[in-house]
Amino acid sequence: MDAGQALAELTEISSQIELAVVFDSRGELIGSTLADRDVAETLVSGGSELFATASKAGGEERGEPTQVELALSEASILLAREGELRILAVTQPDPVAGLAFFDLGICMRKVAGAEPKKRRLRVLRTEAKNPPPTGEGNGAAA
Amino acid sequence: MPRRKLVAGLVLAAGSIAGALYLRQQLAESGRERVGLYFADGTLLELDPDEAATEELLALARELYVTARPEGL
Repeated sequence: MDAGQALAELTEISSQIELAVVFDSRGELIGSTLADRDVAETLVSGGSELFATASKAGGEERGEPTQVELALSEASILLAREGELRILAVTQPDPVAGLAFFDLGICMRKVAGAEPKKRRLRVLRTEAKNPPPTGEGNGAAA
Repeated sequence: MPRRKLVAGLVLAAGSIAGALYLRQQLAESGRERVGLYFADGTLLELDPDEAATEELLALARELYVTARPEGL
């Protein structure tokens, strides 16, 4: 499943989540629910900055937080990370944070699972075109 | 009978006051801006509202919210 599809499912399943962007630890945009790419990239850069500031605020001994909840009066901004992936979501005010973080985690796992599946398919297709040599052929040659 | 009515009335009044206080507390809590950090070991750290880092994080979050608002928020 690609990032766009995973994000579309996220906003469909979770009525609390208004929009979301997925990016990596280097701050590169992977996918978003936004129509405007510039806005999505601004959110990614802000999300990376939020993670860095939150890590400092939490103290070096604790390391980088896995989830950050920023509750504003108009909305909440939720950040989560898993492996190299990061996700930032804007939710309705006072979301059920545990539930929203759970949905964000599922979305990231879907995005993370997308690449290996594609690679495996590609390998299978290559094998179908060029079937691997069987032991019999080698034996006959020897 | 009048004594039972009096007790029932007092219980009702006390319940109403407790309910109103609870609702007021919930409303105050829901409107409060806050920052919560969750760590891999399962701990939650709620930052002190008076800390400079809290204000820095909330200011950044407000900025992002304003950026995202034209996108149908």
